Amino acid sequence: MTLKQKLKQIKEGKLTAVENLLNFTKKITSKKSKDLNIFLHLNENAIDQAKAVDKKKSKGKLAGLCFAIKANISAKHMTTSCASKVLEDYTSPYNATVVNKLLAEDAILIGMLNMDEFACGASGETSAFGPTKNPNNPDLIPGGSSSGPAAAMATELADFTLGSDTGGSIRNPASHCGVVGLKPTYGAVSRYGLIDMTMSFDVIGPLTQTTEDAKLIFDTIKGQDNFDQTTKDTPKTKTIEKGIIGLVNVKDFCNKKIIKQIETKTKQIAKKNNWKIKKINLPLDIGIETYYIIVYTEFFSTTRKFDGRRFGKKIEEVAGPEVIRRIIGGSEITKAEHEGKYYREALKARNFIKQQFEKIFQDVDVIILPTSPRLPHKIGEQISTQDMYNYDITTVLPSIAGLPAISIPVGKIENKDVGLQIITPHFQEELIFKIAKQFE
Amino acid sequence: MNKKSNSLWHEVTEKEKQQIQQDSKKLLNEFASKLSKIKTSENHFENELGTREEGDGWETDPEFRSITFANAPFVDKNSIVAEKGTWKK
Repeated sequence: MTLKQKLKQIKEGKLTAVENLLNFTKKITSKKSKDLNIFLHLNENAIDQAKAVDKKKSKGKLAGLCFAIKANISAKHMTTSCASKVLEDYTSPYNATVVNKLLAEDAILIGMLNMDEFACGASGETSAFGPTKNPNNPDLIPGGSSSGPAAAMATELADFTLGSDTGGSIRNPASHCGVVGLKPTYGAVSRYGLIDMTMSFDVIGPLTQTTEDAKLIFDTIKGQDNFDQTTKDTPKTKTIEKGIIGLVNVKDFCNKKIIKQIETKTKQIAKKNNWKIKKINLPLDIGIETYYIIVYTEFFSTTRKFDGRRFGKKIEEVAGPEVIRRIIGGSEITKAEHEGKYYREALKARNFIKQQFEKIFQDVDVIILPTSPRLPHKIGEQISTQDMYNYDITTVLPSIAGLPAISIPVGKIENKDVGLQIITPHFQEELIFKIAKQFE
Repeated sequence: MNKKSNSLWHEVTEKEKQQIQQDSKKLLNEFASKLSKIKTSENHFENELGTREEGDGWETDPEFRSITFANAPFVDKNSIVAEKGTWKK
């Protein structure tokens, strides 16, 4: 059932907000869901919110729908822990703008979802409160860092969820869990109230069952916010002008079976819609290098506030290894940066990557490639830092350029979900939804 | 740097921190070496759209102060204790 269909049911009185909420809480508190370790905290006020929505005469456009958020998005009176012992006792004193926008439309916040600690991870394993398991195969990782939001959608524990995406953190778990995940254009959605990982990349976006649902939620949360100076309203969107899809050459970077599945599906949809396919190259060989130097630098900077004085505990004393790695790495960059060796080179590379996208979009309407280069590994499996970082190899480039991108499910390989990624120019989310719909 | 380990959360010892520091330096040097080969100029962002309209500003939430104080590890009457070193007590 799509969100529009459920909203119709609620509007016609066939389902109340309270009934909808109770259906979800029953599933969330079941042993099966608890074993998957998806939720960190439930909202104690949710039932009162649902009752209030049912009593309202003039209701918002999302009235009665239930949503859950990644535990790095602030919600007043709730523990916003970032899945870290640093903030395990931290209560948010305010709502993120995205939460306010959804509550204003009478959606009901169910709770906070598990994630990689401070969003540092691509597997969902680095949470200080235990890894989230992949609902389709609990031995496997669900992907990260928005592991909880993706797993919650795969198990239908909410109508929709919100995650954050820095280098693939919405798209990667959406791909491994078989759901839809949108990373909006940088600046399309307010980051006010998001506990940042890398502020020049971070974006909040929806995870849903369908692209139609993703559009509904994106349209609700997007727009200029005076509390986030990087936001602006979405300009008018383009249509499919050239009728050309850019299919990225990923043969040196991705699993062959995944490449075949993405190419077959793309050819099939292109033929159906009379679109042409153009093979293109992206600078995939420098994406990880550029991304992680910038991430280390900005993450080191943003974590200086976690000194144990105003809130929480000192981050260096209680964080897990991946968080420590990024802090130490950022510290090393800061020490050596007078030579312009790391950060300056990465900023130059960032500029180069943006220019490459600009050139490509002169010839194609959209770019398509696999969301993840490989199938998910087993939870607790031995893996090198480089291999873990390489999970992001196909998702970091649009993040570096601030472009919107979506992951949609396109079937399974070896009974594991595979996602297809669509990228468009800045603020062209409407075009993404139009193209993505064809693939569903 | 290609040493394998599992990625599950655990407490980090001082010895492990030293290892992470060595590995990070090595990884960053590898990354920087690769990026230094790119031939491109530096770029500075210029806003071509002009200055955007701003709104009415901030409305203070009456609960903000009480929740913020409740979050602080050490509070002395009307102040959060945040002098250098005092969080260690």
